[in-house]
Amino acid sequence: MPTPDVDVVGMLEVLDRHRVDYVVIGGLAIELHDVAVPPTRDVDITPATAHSNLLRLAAALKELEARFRVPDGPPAGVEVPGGITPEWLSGMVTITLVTAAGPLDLNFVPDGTTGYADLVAGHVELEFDGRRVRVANLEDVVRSKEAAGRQKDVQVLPALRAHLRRST
Amino acid sequence: MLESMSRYDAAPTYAAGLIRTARDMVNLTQRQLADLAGVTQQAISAYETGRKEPTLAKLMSLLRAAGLELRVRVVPLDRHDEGVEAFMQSLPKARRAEIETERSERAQQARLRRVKGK
Repeated sequence: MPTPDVDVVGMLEVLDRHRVDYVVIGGLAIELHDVAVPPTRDVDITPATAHSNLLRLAAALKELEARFRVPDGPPAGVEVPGGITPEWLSGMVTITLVTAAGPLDLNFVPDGTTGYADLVAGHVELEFDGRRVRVANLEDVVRSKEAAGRQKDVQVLPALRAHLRRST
Repeated sequence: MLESMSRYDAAPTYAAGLIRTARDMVNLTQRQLADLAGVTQQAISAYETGRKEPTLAKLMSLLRAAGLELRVRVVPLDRHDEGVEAFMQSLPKARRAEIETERSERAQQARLRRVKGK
């Protein structure tokens, strides 16, 4: 594995080049909606679960040299036994990875949602360093944060709700 | 914690986030919530700014006064951020600082745009 770095744009570029269907969620989605939340260091996406998309996703993850990210494991992650395949991806709900472009979380069914179809229905396209990115709309982000209810979610909820109010 | 969070649009504590969200949900001012709950407005302000931390019982009574309730569930610990932190710590110090500055500046620019109404 090459020296890992954080290159969010590079990561999204690889996903797009492989024509992966996904929606950006989580902290990066909030940042792209222009809410000044504490900086996120990982990228969270909800990919479409169609077999053809999982094939493309597996190829993109191979190019990104994705490895399992485990709390007590090596920072560079651990090899996925048998490699990342569409079949393996299809059995997962959430996967935390380390890639050559930084940490990447795949969340197929974010809290409070039913997954890709649910999120892509209301997605917005936002610009990130010159790249058009499909991002979950803020209402859906709030819905998911409310359902998740972790401390870090609750702490940004007032700002997200205020942002929503201002923009409607 | 309070100091580091104050640069961002985020509540300083879990309780602060809950109380602000609750007030927002039912459209109450701090004063109105204080009157309903039988506490001072200063107490609500102290909770929301993280200067004071309410007990769980107090938090529940504040929410109840707003016509809401706190539902708590116990779930396995979500440790996924620990892996991210370990990854970040593995990067060269200079690169880490560069990334943090970049993300922090992005947040500050977003905040500025919001203040200017853009």
